[in-house]
Amino acid sequence: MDAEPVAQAVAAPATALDLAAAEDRVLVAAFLAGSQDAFQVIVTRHQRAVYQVCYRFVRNHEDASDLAQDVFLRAFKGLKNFKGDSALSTWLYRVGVNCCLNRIAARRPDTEPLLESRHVDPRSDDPFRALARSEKATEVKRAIAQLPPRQRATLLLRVYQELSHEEIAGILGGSVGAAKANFFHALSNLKRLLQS
Amino acid sequence: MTTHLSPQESVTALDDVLPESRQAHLKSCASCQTEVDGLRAMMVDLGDAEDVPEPSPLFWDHFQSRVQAAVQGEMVRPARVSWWSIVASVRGAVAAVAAVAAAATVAAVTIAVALYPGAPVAPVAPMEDAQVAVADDAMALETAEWAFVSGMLDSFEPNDVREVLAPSTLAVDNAFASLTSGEREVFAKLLSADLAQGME
Ligand SMILES: [Zn+2]
Repeated sequence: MDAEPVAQAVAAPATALDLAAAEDRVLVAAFLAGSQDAFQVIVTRHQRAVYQVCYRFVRNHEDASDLAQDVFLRAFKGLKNFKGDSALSTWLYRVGVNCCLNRIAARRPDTEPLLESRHVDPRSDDPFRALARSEKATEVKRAIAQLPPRQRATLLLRVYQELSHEEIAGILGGSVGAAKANFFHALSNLKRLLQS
Repeated sequence: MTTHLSPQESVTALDDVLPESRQAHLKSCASCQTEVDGLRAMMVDLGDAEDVPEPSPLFWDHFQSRVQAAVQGEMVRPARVSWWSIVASVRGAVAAVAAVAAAATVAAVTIAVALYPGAPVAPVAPMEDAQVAVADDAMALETAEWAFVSGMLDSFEPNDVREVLAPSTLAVDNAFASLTSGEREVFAKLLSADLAQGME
């Protein structure tokens, strides 16, 4: 009988578990229809990834958490524009990258926060090698911070968020070819910065 | 000798998806190999440099509260906004889950709710959509649902409803239209739960 699923749906109210298990697109629709709980689940589900994207741009916890909060506030106001043709995570990254690029543009380079001090893993069996690796990592992060913003965004999304070039083009605008070229220039510039 | 790899092709080579003819060039060209190897080594260095310290578990609870507070600050008359959007949407969702309505009907029903909030409408509004063939069982359900909705509508001023519903109905309908039938079922379930909660 056609109406049976409806009867079930109406008769058996969803639990918090159902909400937590729902697809992102369902949550978005529920949120747009007024469900605050659905938005809460969206935040819980994506907060870590959004925070990590922000952290990679600013490399400190305070700014990263401020930016991540801003991302979700913008999402709250802008989810009605989410088309559903990309993953919600990709859409959130786009919002996040925009927030980060705005923050970078608003801040003169010499006021960028210093990179966090290097950290040597004491569990490592070879402290000398660990120290060398850690120094190299610090240099790499410093070099990333010197890249032009779009190259930096491309690099972070590709290497650490593991997004495809197509997704990156969707986030930053422009063609897939341009996204690949940007990535190439980011890597080449990094190499040059690390050699100098 | 074919041309050297372009920047885009070098990046494609990193992903091991270079077309065969270009792959052949790469194999035979020391200069392009050096270029691609350099990029690959850079990728390894980048991987080693990866570390986002995990904040404390307490941070995430705190973060959710912060977002919640920021969001509340943005909302105008939050309770009522939620309420009416939900009422309108549950109606659309339930209709569609029953397979009696296409997305267009959801829009029609939602708009009908917005435009004729106080009217004793009964199932007339959905029937106006000539494309929809309503099954008897679903029809009975719709009637009950509609009576409930119109009962709720009576308790608010028409202008309130219109003001609150107008900005978001299209977005809800669009989001809803993109869902699969399975997702619509989940959606209806979620909203009926939310609705039940709102009545408590
Ligand atoms: Zn070559």
